[in-house]
Amino acid sequence: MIHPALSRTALHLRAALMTLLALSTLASCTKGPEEASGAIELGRSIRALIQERRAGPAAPLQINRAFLEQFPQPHLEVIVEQSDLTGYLGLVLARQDDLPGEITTWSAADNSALAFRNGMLIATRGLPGNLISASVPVQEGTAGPAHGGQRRYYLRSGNNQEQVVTLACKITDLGPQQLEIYDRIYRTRHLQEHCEGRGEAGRKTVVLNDYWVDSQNKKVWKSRQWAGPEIGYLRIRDLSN
Amino acid sequence: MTRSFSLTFRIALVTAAFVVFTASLLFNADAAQAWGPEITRNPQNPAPGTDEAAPRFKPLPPPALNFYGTPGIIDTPSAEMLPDGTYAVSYSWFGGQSRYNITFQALPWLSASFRYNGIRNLNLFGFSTYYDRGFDVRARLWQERRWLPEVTMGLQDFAGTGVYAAEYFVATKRFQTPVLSRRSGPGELKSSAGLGWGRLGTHGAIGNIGGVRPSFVGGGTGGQLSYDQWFRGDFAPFGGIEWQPTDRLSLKAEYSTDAYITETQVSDVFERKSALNFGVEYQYSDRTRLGAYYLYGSEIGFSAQFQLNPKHPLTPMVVPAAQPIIPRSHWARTEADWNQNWPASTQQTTVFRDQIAEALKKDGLILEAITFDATEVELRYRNPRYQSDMQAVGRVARIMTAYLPASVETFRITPVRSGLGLSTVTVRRSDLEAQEFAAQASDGINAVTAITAARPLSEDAVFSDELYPAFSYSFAPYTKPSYFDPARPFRIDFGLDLVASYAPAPGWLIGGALRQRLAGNIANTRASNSVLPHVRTDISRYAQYGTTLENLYVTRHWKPGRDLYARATGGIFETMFGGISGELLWKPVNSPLALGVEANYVIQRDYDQRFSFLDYKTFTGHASLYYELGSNYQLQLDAGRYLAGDYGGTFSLDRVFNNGWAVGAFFTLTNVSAADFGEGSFDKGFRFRIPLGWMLGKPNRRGFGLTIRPTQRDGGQRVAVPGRLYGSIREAHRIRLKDQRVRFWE
Repeated sequence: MIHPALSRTALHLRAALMTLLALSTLASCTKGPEEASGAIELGRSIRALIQERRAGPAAPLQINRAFLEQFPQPHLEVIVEQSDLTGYLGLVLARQDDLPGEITTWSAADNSALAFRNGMLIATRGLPGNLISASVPVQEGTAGPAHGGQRRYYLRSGNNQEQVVTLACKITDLGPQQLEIYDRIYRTRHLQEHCEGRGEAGRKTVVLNDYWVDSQNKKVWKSRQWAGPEIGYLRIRDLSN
Repeated sequence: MTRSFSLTFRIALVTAAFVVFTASLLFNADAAQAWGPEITRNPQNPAPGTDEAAPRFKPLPPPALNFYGTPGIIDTPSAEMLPDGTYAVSYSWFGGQSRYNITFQALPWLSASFRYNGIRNLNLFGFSTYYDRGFDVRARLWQERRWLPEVTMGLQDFAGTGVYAAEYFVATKRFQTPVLSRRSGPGELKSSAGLGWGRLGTHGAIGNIGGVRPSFVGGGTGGQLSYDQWFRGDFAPFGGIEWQPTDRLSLKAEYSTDAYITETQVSDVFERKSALNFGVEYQYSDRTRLGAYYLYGSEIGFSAQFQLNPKHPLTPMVVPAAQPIIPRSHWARTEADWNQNWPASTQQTTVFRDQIAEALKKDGLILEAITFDATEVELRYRNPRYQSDMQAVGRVARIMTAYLPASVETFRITPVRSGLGLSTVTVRRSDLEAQEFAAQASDGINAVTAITAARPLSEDAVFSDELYPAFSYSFAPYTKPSYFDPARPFRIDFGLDLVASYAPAPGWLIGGALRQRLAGNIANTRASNSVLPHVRTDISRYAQYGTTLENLYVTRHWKPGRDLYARATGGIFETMFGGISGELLWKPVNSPLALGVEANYVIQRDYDQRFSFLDYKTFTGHASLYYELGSNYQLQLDAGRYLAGDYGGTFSLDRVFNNGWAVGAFFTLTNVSAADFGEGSFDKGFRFRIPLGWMLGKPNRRGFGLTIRPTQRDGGQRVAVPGRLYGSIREAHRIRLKDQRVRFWE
C-alpha cells in the first residue's frame, strides 16, 4: 500500500537503526576526560537496562522489631504508592535553620533522600520531578501541621523550571488512634490536612495529607503525604526505637 | 462490472468493519483494559486523596492532526493550536499519496510545518512518483471565548513549487457532549468551518478574488514565496466535525473543497467521487494517535501521529541525591576549627584538593584548578555530565561545604570548557547553610548569588594532577543521513568512528577521527548538476570510500581580554574541507548580546578523504550577531563570504528549551541567482536536537540532532570547524544559569 520506495526506505531505516543500536550496545567504549558521544551514552544506558532486567526485583526485606533494634540510627519506612516500592531511609542529619521547626534529612542506599520539617515533607531528592522546597504550616514545639492556611510546593518541572503548587488547607482532628508499628504501640491523634487548589484550565485539585501525631513525644509516627505530581503519595512510618 | 462490484463490496466491508470497531470501542470504554498504555485524562469526581484528584503537570493528549500534520479534521484544517512547544511528527496515506509532516508549535499562537510528500503514479513533470517538499505556517487570530470560536489563518505550502498551495481562515468551536463512560466523563464535539483558497477553493467555490490563479506546474526551481497568489482566485467554504465520545476515541467527518485537480483530472492517481470524508481515530498513548479513514468516496486512508512535548520528558529525570549541607555550627565549635593558617601548609591544601577532586569525580565532574585562601576559595571545574550548568554549580557548592575548613566563607565557582573560564558564580557559605531548606530555596539562593565574568586564573592556583597532558579516545558508531534525492528520498551511511584527542595544556587540543563505513547507500546519490563550485553537492563522490580520515586538527582556545574569547584551529576540519580558521567572540557574561568574527582559509579535500587536497581553495568568513530574545529564543545573524565565494547573510532563529531540546530554522540569501543556485533558489532548512537526558532520564549533556535542508546545494554554505565558541560559552552565562536556578539544589 505504501509506495515501494518509501517502504523500502522505512525498512532500510529500521535495519540501520537496529544495527546502530546493536553497535552502540556492543561496540562502543571510551576512555579519558573528554565527553563521551551520544552513541556511547545510549549504549551504556541500554547495557544498564539489560543488567537491571536480568537482576530482577530485589527480594523484600524481612523486618521485625528485633532486626530494627540492631540499628542505632533511626530509620523511616517509605512506600511510594504509585509504584508500590518500599524503601528504608536512615537519618543523616537533624538541624535547625532560621525558620521554626526541626529539619530531618533521611537517605536511602539508592541515593534518594527526603527532608521533613517537624514531620512534614519539605524536599525530595533522587526521585523524578523532585520537590525542591515547600512552605509548611509549622510551629515550634508542635509535630505535624500546626494550623491551616496557605501551603506551597515548589517543584522542578520537566523543562528545568520551577513550578509552584499553591493550596489552601484546613486541618481536621480525626481523634485518637492507637498505632502499631512492628510490635510497638503508640497512642496518636490522627490529623488530616485537606488542601484545595486550582489546576490547569481551572480544574479543582485536592491533596490530602494524613499525620498520626504523638503529642507527648512531639513526633509524627506515621503519615501519608503528597510529594508532587510525578511521585504522588508517600506512606511513611518511623521505625525508630 | 467486476470493478464496480468489488468496489461496492469493498466499501460495504470497510463500513461494516468500521461500525464494529467503533461500537466495540464505545462499549468497552468502561472496561479497565483499554488498548494501549494509560493516557492522561480529567476523571469525573475523583476521590480526594488519590493521584487523580491531586495537581498534575502532565497535559491532556494534544489535539488530533489532519493529513497535512496540522490540527484539523482529515484533509481540512481546524483552528486549534497544539500545546506550546509541541513537536509533532505524522504520516498519512491515501490513494497512493503519502505525506510525512513535522509541525512545531513555535509560540502559543504560531506554528510552522515541513512536509515531504510522494504522489504515486502522477506521471507528470518527468517523474512517475512525484516527490515534493513544502512549508506551512499557521497563526491563531483569536482564542475561543464564551460565544466566540477560535479563529486561525493558515498558509499551506506557501513557498516553493506549491503542489499543496492553499490559504484559509478557519473557525472552531468546542461543545461538551453527554457522558457515555463514567471513566472518561463527558465527551467533546469540535465543529470547524472555514473559507479556503488555492487547493481548498477548487470544489464548490462561492466567489473569486483577483481572477484566475495559475494552476500548479511541477519541476520548477521553487523556493520563492508565492505571496502574489495568496488568497487569490476562487474561494470555497469547507468544514467538519470531530466528536470525542470518550477520551481515546474520535469520530471525524468533513466536507473537503479540494478537488484534487492535478491528481484526478490532469493525471489519474485516484478517483474523486465525493467531497465527504469520514474517519475514526484512537488515542493509543499520550503521544501516539492512529487513524483510519474513508476519503472522497473511493479511497481508504490511514494516519499515525506522534506528538512530543519537549517540556515533558519521555523518562522523568532522576539525579542521585547529593549529601545535605552540614552547617558549621554543628561541627566547628572550638577556636581551632576556625583557624586561618591552613592555606600556608602545602600539605594541607593538597589534601583538600585531592578530597574535593575525588568527591567531584563521584558526581561526574572534573577538577581543573583550585585557589586557596583562608576565607575564600575559587574552584575551577569541568562539567561533562550535567546538561544544566546551574545543577553542576550547586553540586560543586555542596562538595565545597563538605570538605573546606570552617574559615572559608566565600565560594567562587568557575565552570571551565576547552580551557576557558566561562563565568564565576560567587556564593557565601552561610547563605548555603541558611537557604537549603528555606520555603523558596531556589529563589532564595538565586537572590544572593552573583554571576560575574570568570576571573583570570590565579597565579597560586593548584592544578589537578591528573588533567594535563590528557589523552582520550572513544570508539563509537556514527550515522550520516542524506535526504530528498528524487530516486530515493532517504539515504543513510553508518559505521564506526575512532575518535581520539590529546590535551597537552589547558586550552590546547589535538583531535582526530578515523571513520570506517560499514554499510549505506549515499554512494548512489545522483551526481551534482551545480554550476557553482561543488563545495557541498559532491556527496556521492565523497561517499565512495569506506575508510576515511574524518578530521585531524590542532586547536587553541584562549581569552585575549575581558569578555573576549578566541579560537585558532588548523588542520582537516571535516569531510570536505581543511585549512586554517580563527574566531573571536565578545560575550559579556550578563549580556544577551554577543558579537563574533570568524575567518577561514580552506582547501577542498580529495574525495578519498586522506591527506590530499583538490584544487579548490577559498577564503570564507563571517561577522555574527547573537541575541537572546527571551523565552528561550535565540537569534543569530551572519554576514560574510560563503564557501562557493558567494557573499550574503544567514538568518537563524532557534528555540532552545532549558532541558536542552532545540528546534530552529534558518535561511541564507547570497548574491548567487536563483537560477545558478538551482532547485530551491536559496539555502534554507530547519534543525532540531533531542537531548539524551530527556529520553533516558539520566543526567547527560549529549543529544541527537539533525539539520534538514529541503535541497542541499552549493550556495550559502559554511565550513564546519570543530570547537566553535558561542554555543558552549553561553550555556554557563547568566541568562542560562538563572533560567535553570531550580536545579541548583538538586
